[in-house]
This record gives sequence, C-alpha cells and structure tokens, in this order.
Amino acid sequence: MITSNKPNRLNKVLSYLLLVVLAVVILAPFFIGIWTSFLPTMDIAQGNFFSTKVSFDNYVAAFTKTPIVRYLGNSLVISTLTMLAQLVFCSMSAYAFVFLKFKYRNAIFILFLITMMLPFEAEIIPNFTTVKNLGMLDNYSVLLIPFLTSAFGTFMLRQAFMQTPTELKEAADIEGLNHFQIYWSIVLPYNKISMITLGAYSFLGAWNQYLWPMLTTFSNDSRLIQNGLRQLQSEETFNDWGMIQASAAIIVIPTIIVLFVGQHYFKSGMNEGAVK
Amino acid sequence: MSKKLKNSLISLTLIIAAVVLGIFATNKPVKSSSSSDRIPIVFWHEMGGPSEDALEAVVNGFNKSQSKYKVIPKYQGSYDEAIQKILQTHGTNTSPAIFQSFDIATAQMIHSKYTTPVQNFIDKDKDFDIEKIAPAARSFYSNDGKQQAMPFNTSQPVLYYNASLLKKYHITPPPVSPTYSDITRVAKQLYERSDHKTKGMTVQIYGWLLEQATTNAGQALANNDNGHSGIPTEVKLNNPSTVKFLEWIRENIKSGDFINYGSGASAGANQIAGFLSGKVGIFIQSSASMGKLTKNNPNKLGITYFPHPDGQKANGVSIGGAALWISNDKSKAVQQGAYEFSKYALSPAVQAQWQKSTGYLALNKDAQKEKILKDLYAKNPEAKVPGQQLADAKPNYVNSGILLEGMQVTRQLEEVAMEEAYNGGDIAKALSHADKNVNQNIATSNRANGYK
Repeated sequence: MITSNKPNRLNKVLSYLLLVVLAVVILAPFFIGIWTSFLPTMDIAQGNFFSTKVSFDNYVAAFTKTPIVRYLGNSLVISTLTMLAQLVFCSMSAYAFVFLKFKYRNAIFILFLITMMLPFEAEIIPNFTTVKNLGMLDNYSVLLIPFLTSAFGTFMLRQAFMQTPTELKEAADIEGLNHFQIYWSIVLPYNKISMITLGAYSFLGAWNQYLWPMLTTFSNDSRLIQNGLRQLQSEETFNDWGMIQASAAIIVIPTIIVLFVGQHYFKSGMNEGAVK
Repeated sequence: MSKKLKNSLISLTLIIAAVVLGIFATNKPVKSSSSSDRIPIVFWHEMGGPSEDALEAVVNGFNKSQSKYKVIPKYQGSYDEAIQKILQTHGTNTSPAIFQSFDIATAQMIHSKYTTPVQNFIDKDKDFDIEKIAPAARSFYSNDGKQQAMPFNTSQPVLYYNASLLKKYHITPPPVSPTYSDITRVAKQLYERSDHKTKGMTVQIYGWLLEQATTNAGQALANNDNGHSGIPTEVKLNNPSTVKFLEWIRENIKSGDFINYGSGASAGANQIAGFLSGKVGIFIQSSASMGKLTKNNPNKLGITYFPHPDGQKANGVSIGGAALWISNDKSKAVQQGAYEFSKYALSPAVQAQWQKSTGYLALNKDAQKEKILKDLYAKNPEAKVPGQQLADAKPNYVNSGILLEGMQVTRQLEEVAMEEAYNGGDIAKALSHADKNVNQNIATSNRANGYK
C-alpha cells in the first residue's frame, strides 16, 4: 500500500509546488501594485517597498484631485451599453445562422469570420476617417456605435447554439412557437453560460479599450478610464506614482467584480447541467 | 407567458435602439459652457499629471487677464498620439486652434503646412520683444528665418550627481561644464571609495542622449545642416563624436563603475530610484526631472552641464520639450487669440511660476528677475544650472535640433545601436548598421511624401 502510494504523493507534492510557484509569479506583481498604492510617492521612487508609512492618502488624492469619478462613470456607461448591445445583436445573428435556413448562409458566415482575421488596429485609419466624416468625434457615440456587435460574439454563440439539441427545436416547432419565442424561451436559457461568458468578455473588452478612445475623444467629458489613467502621468516631469497606483487599483475593482460574478454563474450553470 | 417574454424582448431591443438613436440625435461635440460672447480658443496639450495642473493655472490666468478670448485646454494623450490626432483632424470642427507639439515632430509640423507661423503675428505686434526669449529655444522652432512656433515647455539634458555622497567620500565635484574624463574620474573614485557599494554613473539607453552628445561635440547628424537648409536625405551616426561618446561609456562599463538600466520608460524610473536611494552617483537626464530630485531628497543634489569630449569646447546642447503651434484652419480672430495666449504663456511672471511648478525652464530672460525664481535659486542654487546652460548656448545649425521626419523611428534605431555598444559589440559596426536602417527609412519616407 505505502509503496504504491508513494509516487502518487510525490506527484501531488510536485504539482502543488508547481501551482504555488505559478500563483506567486502571477499574483506577486498584482499584490505589489496594490501594496504600493498605499505608500507615499517618495518611498516608491526610491524603491523602498518595505516602508511602513501606509495610508489611504493616495486614494483620497485620486478621488478628490482628479476627474477619475467622471471617467469611471463614462467607462461604466459605455461598457454596460456595449455589453447589452452585443448580447442582443450577437445572439440574434447567431440564432439566424443556426436555426434559419437561407441562401448563402455559410458564405455570409464566412464573410463574418473574415472580419475577425483583421485586427482592429489595422482598421483604425479607415474607421477614423468614417467617424470623422460622420461628425461623431469626441462623443459617446464614437465609443459605442462601432462596437454594438462583434463577429467574435456571433461566432462564439453560433458554436454554442449549434449544441442545442435538435429535439428541443423540433418539440418547439410542434408546439407552434414562432422564432422569437424559441429564441427567447428556449435557446437563450439553454445557452445561459455562453451568454454570460460573452457578456463578461465584451464588458471587459470595452472597459480596457485604450487606443480607439484615445484617438477619437478630445475632452475630459468623454474620456474613458484607461485614458484617464494615462492622463495622470506627465511626460518628462514629476509623477505622483502613489496616486497613479491607487487609481490603477480603483480601475481594476470593477473588472474583478465582473469576473467573480461571471465565475459564480459559471459554476451554478455547470451544476445544473450535471443534475439534469 | 411567452407573449410576455416576447413583449419584454421587443421592448429591450427598442430601448437599445432608442439609446443609440438618442446618442446619434444629440451628436454634437461636447462643449464646455462658455457663458459670455468670448471667442473660444481650443487648446490641445499633452501635459498630464502635475504638469496639467500647472498648465491649467496658466490658462486660467490668461482667461482672467482679458475678456475677449476664452482658452479651453484639452488633454490629448502622449506626444506621439497627439501628433496623429492633430494631423488627422485638421480642417474639421473638432480641431484645435492652438496645440502643443513636441520637439521631434517639428519637421512634420512645418511640412504639413497646417500651421500659421507665429512670426506673422510677432511682426505685427509692437509690444512683444522676441529677443527676450532664449535664442537656443527660438532657433529650434524656426525655419526660413521665420519663427514657426512659440517654444513653450523646454528642458535641457543635464548631468545630476549626488553631492552628499561626493562630500562623504571627499571627492572633488565635477566642474560646471565637465569633460568626459572629469566624469570618469568622479565615477571611478565614487565606486572605489564606497567599497563598490555605489556605482559611479549611468547613461540611459535613450536616443535623445546620443543625439545630444554629438550635438555638444559640434557634429551635425543629418545632412543639409541637420535639415535646416533643406530636407535631409542622409544621417551619419557613425562619426567620430558618437564613437567617442560610446567609447567613454564603454570605458566605464569595463572598469565596473557603470550600471546599465536598459532602455524604455521603466529604465528612466528605475534610474531615478537608484539615484535617490544612493545606488548610483551620476546620471544624465532632462532638466525637467529636477522637481522629483529636489523634493524630499535627503541627499544634496548637484547639477552640471551635459559633458563634452576632452580637448574641445562644448558646442551647447539643443533643447527638448514642446512648442505651441497655431492652426491655420481657424478664423483670423481665433488665430489672433491663440497668439495672444502663447504670448501670455511666455511672459516673465508666468514663465517663472511655470519653472517653479513643473521643472521646465523659464524662457523669458526677464523671468530670472522675478521673485519666484530668485527664491527658488536661494533655496536650491543648483536649479540655476540648466537655465545657464540654455543661456550659454550660441544657436547654430548643429544645436538647433534635427529637422527630420520620422525621428521616432530614428531614435529606436539609435537605441538598438547603443544597446549593442553597451553589451560589448563593435561600436563602429553597430553605428553603421543603424545608419543603413535610418537612411533606408528616410529614403522611403521622403519618397512617400514626394520630397525629391
């Protein structure tokens, strides 16, 4: 018994050791960042990370001296709207690609996929010219309208919808449900997990946008949070690193909430499937 | 049941559509409320962090000083990003009336023909004496004998040393305009006498410093007088001055008193952290860094001019920083207002306060007589040095900057060559390799722009 257990135990120890090392490597920078956000700037500038002068001063400064609250609000509005719009539009188009039969369905879907091959950065120049000519610069609309739907979202949901058992669809047809009813009361609930995953993905994507909002917004009124973080840094002169760290920590909080909520749903969704 | 669901689904879609349409319908650029009938002057700048506060104080001062114009400052991101935004939005209603553009985009701005030279306004203005503005800063932003832009936030590369450490180890400080060997001596002594606890010196892998070293040695990098008498077609990084500079660094690397912090933005921060905590005694950086080096620094700070090669006189370094440009896509009244603002920003009292709160140099000669600066110098006598270096430089084509488009790429290639030299590679080979790539890039860019 003991001898047969030994390699097992060794395996376990080794894999836990590896996991601990990986966790430290991944989490250490994060915690160092959080820790420095409590330190005075001078200690950070000197690389004195074991300072004991811990305080909330940096957070107070971030909230009172900078327009970070406005930026947080802007980002929250844009990210939430982007997420909702993507959920609605992507799920609808995915539904069409899976459950409706029409001419050139696959060809159109391939066209969708082709747009995914081009990175967004490569499309920036034509997109910028378009929004410039539409007069959308420096406005919420320029941050929202280009992102109302996404080829990736359609692709992801199409793959998920294809897993929906055909029996469900057939039963619904027999019941005489129309497409909207099937979409709303069968396909969406059945694919809740994929919807939540896409929701978290699109929310975080919108939250972390940097280049596009930087190029298309010109004033503090429409600035998003990631650009606001950049604004706290000066070009050549003195930087208040403590305050910048505190702002970075503040910015991370909503993304962590989204991930935790998403994870919770993810778990419960898996259990449901197991019980069924 | 299903009807209810269908209804709620339809209403959700309608709400999103309404929100989107609503945003479209109210699609006007977000405007700050300008209450009176003042002419709005939109001002794009790249001053983030504490410098933004200082800049807003300048703007508020101008808005209070007169009742005809209202300057609206808007932050635009980093220098690089802002250039693209300025060029791409020119001619639209969102474009700025006056904007801040950094030193190495000067050629791009002049060639774009999107700006009105400030000289046009200066010629008509009898109150403004351009001679009061530091000549080395003026010449950087002038072309064809015309002042193209108003120099604004200006810095100089200077050498910082830890005066307390030097005193502790009884080392004679370097002279105010040191040669390479002066610095080598101090660095070596510091390294030896501190029992190898403190490294003597560092020079960041930063193309700007390489350019300044050749400039200070009196050597032009690009042909056509560094681009001042025509569009440059060739650079020559592999020249005796650059080689001497890199050999000087190499000598210190070999004797162990040199510490390499690498390149990039974090290198600058790490280097300052090392200096403040006494791990390195000497480094070269923009004078704009002075603010963080004097504030709360337990050690005494020493500053000298940028070092120059032995056996020759320093030619003077060129400035860094940015200037104020006036766009030509706005009405005459708006342009005039933009000029009035730039003039105000360069007035002695404003410049003195600007230097104190940011670390950028006061460009107006009369600013030195202001009480703010006198008090500053009384407290930190070394704060005078960068301004003196600026005043000492006699402008010529070599130290008035390189009027070359695509300087950003050139700098990257310079940094690759520096990296190679630091790591023990053949200096001449690394430099000629950089030359080849830079020249290729220049040829492509000139052809694309239709320059002959």
